[in-house]
Amino acid sequence: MFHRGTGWLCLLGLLPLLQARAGDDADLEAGDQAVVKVLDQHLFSQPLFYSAPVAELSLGEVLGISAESGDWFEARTGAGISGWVHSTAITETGVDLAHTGGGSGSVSAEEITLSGRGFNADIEASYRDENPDLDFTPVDQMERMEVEPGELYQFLLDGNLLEGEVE
Amino acid sequence: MMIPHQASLLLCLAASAMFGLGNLDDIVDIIESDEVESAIEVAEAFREAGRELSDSEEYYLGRAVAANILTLYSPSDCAEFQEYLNLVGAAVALSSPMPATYGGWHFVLLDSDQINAMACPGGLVFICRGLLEQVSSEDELACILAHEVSHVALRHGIRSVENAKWMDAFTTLGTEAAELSGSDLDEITEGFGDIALDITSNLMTTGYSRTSEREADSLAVIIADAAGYDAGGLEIVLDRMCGIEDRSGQGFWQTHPSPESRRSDVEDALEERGITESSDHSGRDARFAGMIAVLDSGAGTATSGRGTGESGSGGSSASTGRDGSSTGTGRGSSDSSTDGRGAESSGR
Repeated sequence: MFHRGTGWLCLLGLLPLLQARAGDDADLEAGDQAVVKVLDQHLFSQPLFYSAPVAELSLGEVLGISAESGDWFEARTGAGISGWVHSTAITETGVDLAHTGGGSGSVSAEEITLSGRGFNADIEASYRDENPDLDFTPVDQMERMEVEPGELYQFLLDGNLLEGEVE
Repeated sequence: MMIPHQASLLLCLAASAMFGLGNLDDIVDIIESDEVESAIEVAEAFREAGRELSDSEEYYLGRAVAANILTLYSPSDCAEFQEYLNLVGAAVALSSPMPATYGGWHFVLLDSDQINAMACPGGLVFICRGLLEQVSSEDELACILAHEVSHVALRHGIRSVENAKWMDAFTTLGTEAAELSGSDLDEITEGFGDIALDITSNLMTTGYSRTSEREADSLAVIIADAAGYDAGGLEIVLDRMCGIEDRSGQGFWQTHPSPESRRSDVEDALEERGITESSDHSGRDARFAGMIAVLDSGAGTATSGRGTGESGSGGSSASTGRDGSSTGTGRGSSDSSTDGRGAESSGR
């Protein structure tokens, strides 16, 4: 199935752009292992954000990669569930979680994210203590506004932004 | 200072690699040479500190920026419109170069008469009701959100921070052990706060550079089109804003180039990429009209009185946009939600 509109007619030309931040995030191939590097993400039945989710993924979860399709990887969870995950949601395993910088090496973004270092929840808590006038409650409320894949699919379909159906 | 085009491409790719943006390919011709230099400078600060800025750090900075913004504005309490806004936002963001972010994409309508929209690092996006007043269709709304998503994807907020502030923060962070305490924690917290305030100030007062805005417009056109929306919606909104004579207010007029100049740039971007009008959008127009009706009907109860007097626009909000200068897309009646989605607004 394809989106309607000129955008998807030009999809091939746009792929490099849409991969822009994905390319170096997940330099993976079949047989590799990957780690989830975002807080909340689904494993999807198809390489589409609006296809049916088959599992919920969590930060740091290890996945086995079995195939690649564009920006998406087919992956299997530790519980044996297979599905598709977008390349911007995962990174290679093998990042050094104990690496703190210094010496000759540079600390990668993935190492910082997966080790929970750098600007993190502790720094935010300290910042909040020092700025009691700042209210993070509406920020937390904002983050609770999530769009479920099925809801998005119906929205895209109703808006004539999709053509065809996803199983 | 201008630099030769080929050199700028190389610098851009180098900066992109340092930022962790990967191979930018098509984005290369969006990022302009003077912006490349600015990106290089910040990337150099990261390199000297021996580290990159991670998605999680961008997320926490974005939360702090959002908290600062929300001391000045209140979110609209119209849950149904907020849900709709997040659906349009998701449709756009998932067609962007960074569909999955550490904390996800989230969109909020602010009860403010200001004509403005703001995007925090990591994917928290705000649009003021005053700007929504200038919008007459879902496609136009999608284009505005695509512009904000582009600012995040191109890391304009991160790039707008003074180099020295990154260096100050990273001097301690770069050699950080497992847990922080005492003076190290205080120092890093101060650096974190300085950076968050810098980004907030750039969003609210100073604005990004003209070239950053042009980049965001160029990428917005691509993203909106990729999502199936009519990317020409951006040109229509800018055209409508060109008709506004009173440009003395805060927000957009302070932080953005003139709509006249942006409209011209967007026109070029549409033409250059051969983007034409999308497929039938009558269904989208109808549900947008329905959502606006829902929003307007509850406008009187929308504000909580927090902040600086930027209260809700109420039922008498300026209507020179949609109503006064609409291009007349035949939106028809605006009675209730049109596709049954409105019933899904509970439980959020």
